[in-house]
Amino acid sequence: MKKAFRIFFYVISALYPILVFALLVVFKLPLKLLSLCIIALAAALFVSVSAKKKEKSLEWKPLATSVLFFLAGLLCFLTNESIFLKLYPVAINLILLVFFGSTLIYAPNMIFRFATLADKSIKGSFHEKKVENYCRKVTCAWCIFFIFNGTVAILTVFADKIFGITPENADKVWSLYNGGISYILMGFLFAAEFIVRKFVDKKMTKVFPLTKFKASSRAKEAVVCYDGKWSDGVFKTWGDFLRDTAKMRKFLESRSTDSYILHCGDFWYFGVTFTALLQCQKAVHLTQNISENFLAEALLPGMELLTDAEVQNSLYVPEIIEKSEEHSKEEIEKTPEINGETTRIFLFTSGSTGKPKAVPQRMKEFEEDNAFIISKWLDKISERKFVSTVSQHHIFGFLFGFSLPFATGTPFRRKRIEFPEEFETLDDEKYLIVATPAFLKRTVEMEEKLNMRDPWLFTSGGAVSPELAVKTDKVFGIYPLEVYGSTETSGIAYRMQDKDGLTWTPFDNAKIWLGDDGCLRIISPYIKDPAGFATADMAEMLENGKFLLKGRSDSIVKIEEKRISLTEVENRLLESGLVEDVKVIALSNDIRQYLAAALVLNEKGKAEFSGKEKYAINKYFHDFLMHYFENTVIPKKWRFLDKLPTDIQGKKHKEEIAALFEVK
Amino acid sequence: MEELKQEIKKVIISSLELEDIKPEDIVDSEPLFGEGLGLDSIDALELGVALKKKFGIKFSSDNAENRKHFASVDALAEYIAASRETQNKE
Repeated sequence: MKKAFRIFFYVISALYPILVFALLVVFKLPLKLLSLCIIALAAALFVSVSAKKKEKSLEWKPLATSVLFFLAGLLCFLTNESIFLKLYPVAINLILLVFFGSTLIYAPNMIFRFATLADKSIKGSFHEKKVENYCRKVTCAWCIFFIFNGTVAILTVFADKIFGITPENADKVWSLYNGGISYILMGFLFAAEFIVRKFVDKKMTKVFPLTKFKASSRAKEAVVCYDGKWSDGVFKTWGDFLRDTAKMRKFLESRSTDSYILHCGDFWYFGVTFTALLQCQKAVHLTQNISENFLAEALLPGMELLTDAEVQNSLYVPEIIEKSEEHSKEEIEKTPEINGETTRIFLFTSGSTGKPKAVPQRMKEFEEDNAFIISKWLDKISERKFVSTVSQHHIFGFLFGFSLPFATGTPFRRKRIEFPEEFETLDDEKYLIVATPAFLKRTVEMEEKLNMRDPWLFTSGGAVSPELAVKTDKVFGIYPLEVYGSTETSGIAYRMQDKDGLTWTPFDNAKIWLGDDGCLRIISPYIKDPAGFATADMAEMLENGKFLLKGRSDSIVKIEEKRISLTEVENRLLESGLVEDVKVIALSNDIRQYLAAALVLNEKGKAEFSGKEKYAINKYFHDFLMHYFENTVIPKKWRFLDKLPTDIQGKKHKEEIAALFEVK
Repeated sequence: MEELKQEIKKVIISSLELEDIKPEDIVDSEPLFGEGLGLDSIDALELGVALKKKFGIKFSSDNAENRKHFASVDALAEYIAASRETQNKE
């Protein structure tokens, strides 16, 4: 009954202008009687609304309407002037203008409030800000409409006086506009906004990180991965992604293994396998190194290797994906949820103890890292295609080469760029390049100005020298956006040298200060230790919270962006059983940084190498270290001595060792 | 061809500032990278630059092809000789 009455009332208030016109002009109802009717109607509505619920606060909309009607009716009754009845639409527009307009000052705006009520997924999503901005524009549009509509409504109220027409015709004009045209205009505005919204929605980048995507997150034909260059048109789509992950999932479910090592040079196979592993809640160890010796140490009992390289006793990913049968639609669209806090991901780093160390990581922190990049540079990202020179098995390559483009739905290249010449082919599209400074350095030496269209560059894993930054601009047409961070800290700060010079700006979510040793201390969502992480990077803090880097301080050095512990290399050399004493130092020449080793052979070593050429001895130790390290960080220069220079305390000083390698 | 190989070896040694090694220590057919001569990926790029300067040749934008050319001194010599020939024809 109450409901029926309310519907009746809403119909009345919508048709109000026509009713007033009909009763007043057509049926010649006395104004006093009509105003009494309206007062009665208002009272009835007021009673129905205020009596409705005791516990909840009163609904303001029907209440305000009833008060307005009541006032209109009362004033009209007292003055016997129909004008007060006719001012109702004006008042409505004014009130709506105040309500909508005030939310432009006191956020969130009105339309955004409606939108978040209708779609709960907007709140807390990456595109929330964009949606809010759009809604703000829509709110503005409605405000302008209310101003316009209200103004015209006023004009129609006084139509007889302004346009000099008969009161009767004026009443017609008033009801025609307020009871008809104004609704039609409103309808038009609704329709136009609906069309614009569909268009904007399509253009808006929706962010779905690995832990939040569903089968419906993207269109089936949306491109995830491309081969060669973009315009070759060799694509893997979202539909392919769902299909292939289902295949990999089924394969993993058929095995009892809980812990896997993953190495796929192909970004597609990598992404599919990685996702399926997390969906099946398996432990994943990422490694770029799949040499026999490394695997002998890293593959613990019960673990298996998933790879697209030809390695004995491994599970060959391309075969699993390409050869296994297709699964049901239901299975394909299942997408088991990935919990960012319980994922078991391990990245290998060379700890100073000797053995390759698997450092546990979680998707939660990876995605927080991505989130900052997305919040800052989504526009740059979403209009480009990703191409990486960095292995996705390293943290920087993983974060920027896979998890970032996956989250933003930006297509990424299946193959890593390994030679600078490959950039020459990328002249067909806007690309976003993920590279290390080392790779940039070689590229600017090899290449003239590249014919690339408005590229964007992310670099990490070492600072770009001012000279390299300028050269990069010459060759690529843009300065690299440098991200400062490491496996332990993830991204911490950024700079772009054409704007920032050498000054680093910390990420919004990172807290940075200097320790007693002059090195940076960092707290960020990524760092689990509440005391923060102590880096080995010396720095100078600036007044505005930004900082300058001043070099590294300890026995861990970076050779072409690869972290290497000098202690570890020394320990390995001692393990050879041929060495009595050793000191490894980092040196550099015009070309590069490299390690150099000064050795004292023990008795066994001396016997082993007696009469051999030095080159052969060098080669022996080089090949020995190849079992444990990547080629880049193995000492390039060797000295064999009877005794290493030490001070009185027996301490070996870098300077004295370095002197051994000076070219005479 | 032998002369070219000698030259390549000299470029390898001088451009990468290799120590303790004479051109005759480098075996023509042995792999340059990894276990053989033990060069690394940075050396590869550096060597590319040096060979480009010395012989005026250009490497391909195709990754697999480059790997072939850089496999050994033999492969490099073959590639350089071939690209010189095409240049002469033009």
